[in-house]
Amino acid sequence: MTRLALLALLGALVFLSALQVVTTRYETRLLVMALQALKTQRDDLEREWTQLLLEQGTWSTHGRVEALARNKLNMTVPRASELKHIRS
Amino acid sequence: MNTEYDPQPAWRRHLVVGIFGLLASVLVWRAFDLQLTNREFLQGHGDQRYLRVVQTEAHRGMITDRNDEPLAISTPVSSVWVNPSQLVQNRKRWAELAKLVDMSEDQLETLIVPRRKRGFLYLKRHVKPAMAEAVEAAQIPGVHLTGEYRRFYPGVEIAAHLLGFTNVDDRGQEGIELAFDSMLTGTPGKDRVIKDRLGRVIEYVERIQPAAPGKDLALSIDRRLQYVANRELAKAVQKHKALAGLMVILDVNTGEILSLVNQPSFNPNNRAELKGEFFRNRAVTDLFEPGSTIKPFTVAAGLESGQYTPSTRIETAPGYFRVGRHTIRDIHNYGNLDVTGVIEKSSNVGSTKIALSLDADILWKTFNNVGIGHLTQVELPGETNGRLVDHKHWREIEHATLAYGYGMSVNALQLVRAYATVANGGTLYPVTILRREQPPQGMRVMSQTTADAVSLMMERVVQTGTAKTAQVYGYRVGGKTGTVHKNAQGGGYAEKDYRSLFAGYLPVSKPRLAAVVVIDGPRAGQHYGGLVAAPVFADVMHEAARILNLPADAIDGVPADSGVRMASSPTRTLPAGPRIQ
Repeated sequence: MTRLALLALLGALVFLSALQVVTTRYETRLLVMALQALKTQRDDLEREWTQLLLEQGTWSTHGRVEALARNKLNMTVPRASELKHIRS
Repeated sequence: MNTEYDPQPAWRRHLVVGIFGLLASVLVWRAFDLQLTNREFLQGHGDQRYLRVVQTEAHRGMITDRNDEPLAISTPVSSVWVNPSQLVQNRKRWAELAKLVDMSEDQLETLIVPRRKRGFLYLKRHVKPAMAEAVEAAQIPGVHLTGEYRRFYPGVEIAAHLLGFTNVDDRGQEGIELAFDSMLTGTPGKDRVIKDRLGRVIEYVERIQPAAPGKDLALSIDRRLQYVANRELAKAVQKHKALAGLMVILDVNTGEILSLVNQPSFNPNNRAELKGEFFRNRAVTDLFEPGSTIKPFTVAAGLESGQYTPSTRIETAPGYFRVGRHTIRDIHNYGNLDVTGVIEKSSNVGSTKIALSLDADILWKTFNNVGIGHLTQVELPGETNGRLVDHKHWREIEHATLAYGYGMSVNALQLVRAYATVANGGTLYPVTILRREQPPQGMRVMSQTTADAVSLMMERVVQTGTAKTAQVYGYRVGGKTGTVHKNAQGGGYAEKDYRSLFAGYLPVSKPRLAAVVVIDGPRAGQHYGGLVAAPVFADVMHEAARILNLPADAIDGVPADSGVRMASSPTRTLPAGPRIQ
């Protein structure tokens, strides 16, 4: 009788571990899919960042800023006589 | 019991058993064959049904200036490719395709028909986003888009010669892009994965190749100085109708190149039909005779030898001097000068007399020690080595002409390195185009006393000598002009073809920046270094000093009390202000 019970118990445990394997496998799969999605998102963001950097670089080209400052904002470089040196 | 009963003959039993045995052994053999012998082959094919290879991106590293401002960025672009074997089955859509990629139908035919057996062909690379969207929307079978990377240079022409450019396959062709190509190029990573029905990755099986992204590179140049230098150089080259020009700014204490510009320049983003002449980085590749800019080093040799002091008198009258069959002339008869005056007035006669009174090897050693005749070994491709003939082979006339800078050759980097050595008090540092993360190892090649003395002489050149146009308000400036005859076509020197030079540094009390300006072939009337090259130095340094926040050391003509070098109180005032355009 006890032998049968033991056998049944072991059989049940095997069955439970089998279920656990299936569950773990499934969860791994979900995590891997999430990882791949994040990697793709990272690549997309990095691509967007380089494009933004390029756009910023183009807008902030020194020649363009100088032309705007001189022509649109009427700015000039201060002359020596307009400078005040402060000794600390 | 009937003993004679024999239902079947024995052989029939044995035959059936034998046939079954044979079949069974065939199965067993086949099992062995499949499982053991052909295992890998069959497993491979099985894997191919559901394993896929996924690539991780690795684009080219970014090139930045010393303040991490981007100079060269890789950006994704689309390229159109076709499957010719598939495309030939869709003949009626070729007209539409040709219009989408801006080709004529004939061009498309000549491209595709000879390759109709192939499975892959680039149709147009690096297309504009609008064209890519149109191709995508058209959904022509056999036509696909793929993502590639293209290099863009936000600074456009200001650092064009330094950076170089890449070809359509994203490999460097010139400049830094070439010199550091392997470091900038990344390798994409490859993983073997299992994908499910919907194309999502569900398991990582194997890492075939680890991803190695391209490394970013930080140069030593400052984008703002580069812009100012380029702007002023372009103006000067245009004003004097010169063939070309260049300027290099060096940090005297670290050997870092803070700016390197050449004219003519080009737009690396759009290189259409340009000749190689535009791409040449003249500061590195072009050699020239330094002329009068070498005189401070001749004097340095005299001071180091102990035979001269800054106030030793030299007779330069009557303004010319015979050496063998040759006559060395000054522009005017300057009469009796002290050594400082020889530099201030740039007297050829004075320099020659000093040089000839020294042993050849002492003179040679001084030039050699500041790097003349040695490559700077800067990390840019194409550097040519200047020439300084060994003193053992000098004839008297060579010994003489070397005193005022003829008979030797340098490139701009070698010259500015020599000036930086005097400026920082006598230590030679290696020149680099990369941002330094640690202070460099230098080598003392000149005594501090000599360097200080020569520096004060060069300050006089700017205060009252040939380089008054190099003055920068608020700073003590030292330097030397040069006006060199270029070589004539058939040998010898051209009568009216010049190179205008200025080499200098500031602030004299605590030098930070050294620069060389070369204007090649000015033909608008003026050609003296002091009139053509020195003003460029002044205009650039005025802004550079402000950008870098250099502490002023000469407000209203009075030197501030800081640093080692103090001139014997100059009392004249500096001009009211720099020329502002």
